Amino acid sequence: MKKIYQLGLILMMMILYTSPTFAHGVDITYTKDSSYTIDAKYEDGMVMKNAQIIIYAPDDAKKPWKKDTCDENGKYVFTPDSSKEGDWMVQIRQSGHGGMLHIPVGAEESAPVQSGYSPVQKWIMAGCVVWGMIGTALYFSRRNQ
Amino acid sequence: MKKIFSVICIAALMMTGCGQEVKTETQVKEQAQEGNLTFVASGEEAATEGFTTKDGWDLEFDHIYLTVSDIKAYQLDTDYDAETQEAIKGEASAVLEGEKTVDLAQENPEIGQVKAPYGQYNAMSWKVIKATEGVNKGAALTFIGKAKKDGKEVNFEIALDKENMYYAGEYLGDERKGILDEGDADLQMTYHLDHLFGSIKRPDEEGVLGFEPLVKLEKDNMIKVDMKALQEGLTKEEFKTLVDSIPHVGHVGEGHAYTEEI
Repeated sequence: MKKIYQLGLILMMMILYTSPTFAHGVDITYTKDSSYTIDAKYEDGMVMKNAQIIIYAPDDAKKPWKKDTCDENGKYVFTPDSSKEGDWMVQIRQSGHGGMLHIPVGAEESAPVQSGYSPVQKWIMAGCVVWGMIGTALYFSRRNQ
Repeated sequence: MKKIFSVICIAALMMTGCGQEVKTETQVKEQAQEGNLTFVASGEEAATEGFTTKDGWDLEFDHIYLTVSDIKAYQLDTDYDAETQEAIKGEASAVLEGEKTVDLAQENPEIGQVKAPYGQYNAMSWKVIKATEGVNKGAALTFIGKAKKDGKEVNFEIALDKENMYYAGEYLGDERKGILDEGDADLQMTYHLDHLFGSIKRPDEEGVLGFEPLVKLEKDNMIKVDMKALQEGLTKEEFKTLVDSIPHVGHVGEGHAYTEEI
């Protein structure tokens, strides 16, 4: 019984000790350039030639930062003001069709993007694993008695 | 055994406590603040000024009655994309209940206003239903007006009763809508009439009825039809084209909507 208790404590300590790795183990990051090339196409692959572009900076979600048009190939090179960190919103429209694009710029851009489970979920899963192992150990120890 | 159980329980409680999200005072304050969110409809210039159909009929509207209900606005963490052809997942932050009929021949008629929490409303859903009362009773979308072509003029009253549920993302247009902070905000459901009758700008467009097929249903210089009369008077193919195009009329600005038949 004492051994099982010790085993439980050791496992719990291992989890607590190793927990910081949960926050970084599966993070996905990406690199950036000083500008972004927007490529606007329809679902069937046809380019959105001269489509309208409206760009909103993160500091003013209502007032457009810039209005412009894509080129003949549906492309538009966008260089955000790097002093305005946050989520830039790009709206592209043409003839009753359109879409939105969110581009994180600055601090948020390099921020790790977590995928999969949240830290709370990971903690709970770890607890369940420990509890299961202790339960298994108790089951076998009883059988031996 | 009791000790082990206690250790596990305490550890589990600690773990849950550590993971709890703590809202800042600003977040709590922001959540508590409310503003006026107004729902409007629009048939754009085509509805207020008229337009020319793909087969060359100049349409002018006296009224375009649209009946809607269950209008909901959402503040979603991730943008809703109607192209996924799935309903919006998430709880609505603002709801306008009840049946409302508006006239799209007026400029941006107001459907109703609700008190709603501050934030960005980036998705919207609504139902188009058959009106149970009022000017549009028995119909969901009714067009009343005049059509002209080559010196011929004919009046029309076309009542459609197809009921649909619409799901749409953020409004796409010259101005950004749905951002409710200090001051009011509005959300717009937009009706593209050229999706039913076509536009002279695209005379060869397929999948839209145009107006010419309706002219054969004229009696005493008047086309007065409901869905039953349309089914009887149009060819099977024409009727199918009309029925299939009805769900595609609803948009949010130029943003598409996903539609389910009710």
